[in-house]
Amino acid sequence: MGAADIHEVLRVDGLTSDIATPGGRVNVVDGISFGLRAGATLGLVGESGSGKSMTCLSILNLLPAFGRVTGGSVLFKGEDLATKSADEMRKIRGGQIGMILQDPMTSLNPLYRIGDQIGEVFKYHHGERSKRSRWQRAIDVMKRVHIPAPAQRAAAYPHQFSGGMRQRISIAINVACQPDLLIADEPTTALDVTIRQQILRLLKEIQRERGTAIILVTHDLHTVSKFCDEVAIMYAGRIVEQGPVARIFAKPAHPYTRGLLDATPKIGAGMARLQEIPGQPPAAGQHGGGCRFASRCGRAAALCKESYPPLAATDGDGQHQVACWYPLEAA
Amino acid sequence: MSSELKNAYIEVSNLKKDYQVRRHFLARPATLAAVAGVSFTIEQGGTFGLVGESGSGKSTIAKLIMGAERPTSGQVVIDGHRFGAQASASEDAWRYRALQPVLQDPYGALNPRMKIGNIIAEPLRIQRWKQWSRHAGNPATEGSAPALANSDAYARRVAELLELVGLRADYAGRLPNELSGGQRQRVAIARALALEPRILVLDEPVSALDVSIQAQVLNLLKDVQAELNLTYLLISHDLAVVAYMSTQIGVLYLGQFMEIGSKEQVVNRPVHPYTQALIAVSDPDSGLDDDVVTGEIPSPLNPPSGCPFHPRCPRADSRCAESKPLLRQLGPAHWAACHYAEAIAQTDESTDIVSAIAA
Amino acid sequence: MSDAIVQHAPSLPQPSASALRSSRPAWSRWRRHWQFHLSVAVLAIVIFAASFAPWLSAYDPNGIDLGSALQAPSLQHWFGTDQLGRDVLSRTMSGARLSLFIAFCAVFLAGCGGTLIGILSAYFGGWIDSITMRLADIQYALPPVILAMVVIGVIGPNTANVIIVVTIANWARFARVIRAEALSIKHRDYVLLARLAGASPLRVALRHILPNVRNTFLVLLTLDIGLIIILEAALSFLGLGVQPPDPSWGTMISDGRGQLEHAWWTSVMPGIVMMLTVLAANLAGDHLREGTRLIGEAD
Repeated sequence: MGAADIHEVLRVDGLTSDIATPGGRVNVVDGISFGLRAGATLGLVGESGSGKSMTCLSILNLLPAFGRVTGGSVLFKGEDLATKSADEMRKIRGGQIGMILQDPMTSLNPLYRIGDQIGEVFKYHHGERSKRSRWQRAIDVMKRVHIPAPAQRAAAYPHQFSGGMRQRISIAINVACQPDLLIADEPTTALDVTIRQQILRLLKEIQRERGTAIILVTHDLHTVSKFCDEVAIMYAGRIVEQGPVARIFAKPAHPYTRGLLDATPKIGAGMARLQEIPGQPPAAGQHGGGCRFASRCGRAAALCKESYPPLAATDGDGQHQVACWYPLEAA
Repeated sequence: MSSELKNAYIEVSNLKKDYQVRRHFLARPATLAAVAGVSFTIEQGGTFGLVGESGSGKSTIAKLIMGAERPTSGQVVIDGHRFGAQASASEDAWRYRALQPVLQDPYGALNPRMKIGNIIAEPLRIQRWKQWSRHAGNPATEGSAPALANSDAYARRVAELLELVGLRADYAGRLPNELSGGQRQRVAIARALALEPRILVLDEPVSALDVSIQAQVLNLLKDVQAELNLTYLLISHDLAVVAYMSTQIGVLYLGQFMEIGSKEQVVNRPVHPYTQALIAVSDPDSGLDDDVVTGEIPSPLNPPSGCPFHPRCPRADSRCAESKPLLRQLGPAHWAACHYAEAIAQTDESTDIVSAIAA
Repeated sequence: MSDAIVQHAPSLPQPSASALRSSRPAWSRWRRHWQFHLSVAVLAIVIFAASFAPWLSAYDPNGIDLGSALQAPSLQHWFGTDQLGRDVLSRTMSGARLSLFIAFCAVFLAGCGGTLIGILSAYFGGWIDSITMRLADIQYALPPVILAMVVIGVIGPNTANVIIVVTIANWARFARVIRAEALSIKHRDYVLLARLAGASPLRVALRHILPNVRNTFLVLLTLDIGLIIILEAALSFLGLGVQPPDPSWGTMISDGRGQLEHAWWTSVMPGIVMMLTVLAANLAGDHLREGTRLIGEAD
């Protein structure tokens, strides 16, 4: 993830956003940079207040009314999204960039049949006028996401489906237009564990077919290790470590990453005590100068509290980067 | 099922809970069997983990045991006290002091208008704790009150509880909206411990918390259990959490047990295909194939015939669809509800972790 | 029964209640909520004038002076005089006393009564709930003025009876809204936990439900005050309320009907004051509602 790559679908550089609170404007996304190639999956990992969801909304220019992108650039297929007008963004969203949200119930309109909701995408982005044709294409898309009996189910309403099915429908709506980039914000957190697997596999399948790039926002490290190629760990609005998943999980360099890995219960671990990270994540904007993890870090020294460490490579090819003055040594 | 465990502190027998639901206003009510007859025992000082997905009935079982709902049939015996379909005020009064719940949502568990100190002290005030507390050096019966002013005794007890859960004493004067999720959950634990219960029912106690805070609260629960010799009933959808905390595990599906056993047994040598599937999807290093379970969880309103898991099970055959396997004992303190449990157990005798499912 | 997993706390950072209350400097809070402050100021002035009317009035409200009858507003008589030469400003202030007294009593009684009924209804449910809600339906169905006419016709028009009638005509709104709020509170975890610690229904109602409906109650009070002032004025206007010579806004407006073309101030002045009071009360109520909603959401 070093220099810009011509195969990159998305390149984010120094993205910064803030939101208005009664106490003033607060920085929630602070200089985020990463690149994403076609066919690759980036895991964006963080806890509450890390800014991972806000980053996605910032990329899509979908920040709520009290939020604003204040800096940085977002290059999608080489074009800066910040220069797009509202209409152009609307065409891009849904047409070339899809977004899957956590709660499938609220992303579907309870008053319309599934076939109509999926078909709407064709009307809006492909100008498909014929209702029958839209309906048929909707059924085709439902087949592709493995919804059983699609011809009958297309006439049903969202509340008649289970959570997992609704998420499939949400995916169907998103892939109907065959987007180049898919942003999935905690798509499986609200689903049962045996269903999660199926949904993630579906996303992978779609990715293989079309070479879609995927950003997977999650707090679950298991998911990241199974489904992502690269990962960026976010803390208090900044990326503290990023790089290939296998490398980072085997040898995390940032104490926070190490802390997260140690704090996640593992089934086969026996009775070994979970390592806690003391304290709690800072609320938005409530961090001092210096490294934002310093107050919870067992290795913090004076330098950590004074100035913020820049992202630096820990390995030869520069793919694995960490923002730490005293990164953990390779084990 | 007779209890094999020596000190069956809590014994659940054939617990059933049905709900009458209507699809819509004019439909005839249908019976939803949320809990379809479960039996298990919990030994004193141990942690029994109930794990399952939606519709498994684990939260309903928790509610039945904590007394938030009454069972349709069956009973729960806690230290000799019986709780069944019939209400009993005296038994309920005993249960309030012996068993307390910690619930899932830290944001709904605390009255937003009450100060933390009052929230924690409320059970004490309700039960007029000063009259019977062991804490005052008297046995746990209707004894004499400690020779102290009421508010002093309460304040000291609150400070003690705050310290126990790792919060500073000055938190007593704060309001809930000043606390984070993890801190609120600690307050909820402090309140649960106020009446010196012997049992805690923990219904998804950390599901709503960040990973780094989860570890803190889980460790706190472990420490408190050791210090006060408590018995826990832990409910979670997360098998890893259950595995971390429990001495015994029960795997539920559609209101029935699929497998019950010690933690080592269930986690290292599971014999039920559903248990294996849960381990496969929860643990990337399990070596189990995580792609074998297909389909959706059926609605409890319309459970499958025979074995409830058969439509999704990779090993199911016609026998599984026709007859429901009963929970059978496979070893000391190990039960499974599967026609092929022995076969599965035998093929994997040599390895600790069950290998990928073969024919 | 759903075993659904509770979501993580929302990832959008929420302003905390304490941030809302205290973090901005006072002058900028003032500027942001100028409507609220203005309405409160207006209400304060009206209430002050009403309370101290006897000492503030330059003239006796009932002092008849036929020589100065029907004078337009001037420096001696800021609101002019009516057909009997009485100073309209002094009468308006006296009228405010009576109108506001009746309104506050009635809204308070209706509020407390309605809240009590709403909480009991929500907590116990069953037939208690059915009966009270049907009674509320009946109250809603009857137009308040007709209801008042019937009741006053039976028990006679005087100040106390007006308070009674206005209370009877307004409790249902409180009962319904508080009942809805109480129902949602009843299902919160902290109520369940209190019951599982052995709390009696009374304790749950007083300690858990009542404090959490307090904000709604206060907002309803403020919003209702306007309606009740108008209702009382309507009754007095029709002669069913306050009896002459005691001035109330309603009677003054009624008395001035005969002179509207040539001495409009006798009706219009008390009318304007009443309108400003009701408007101020409604604005204040609206802001209270928004403010408590934001604080409630931050919980």
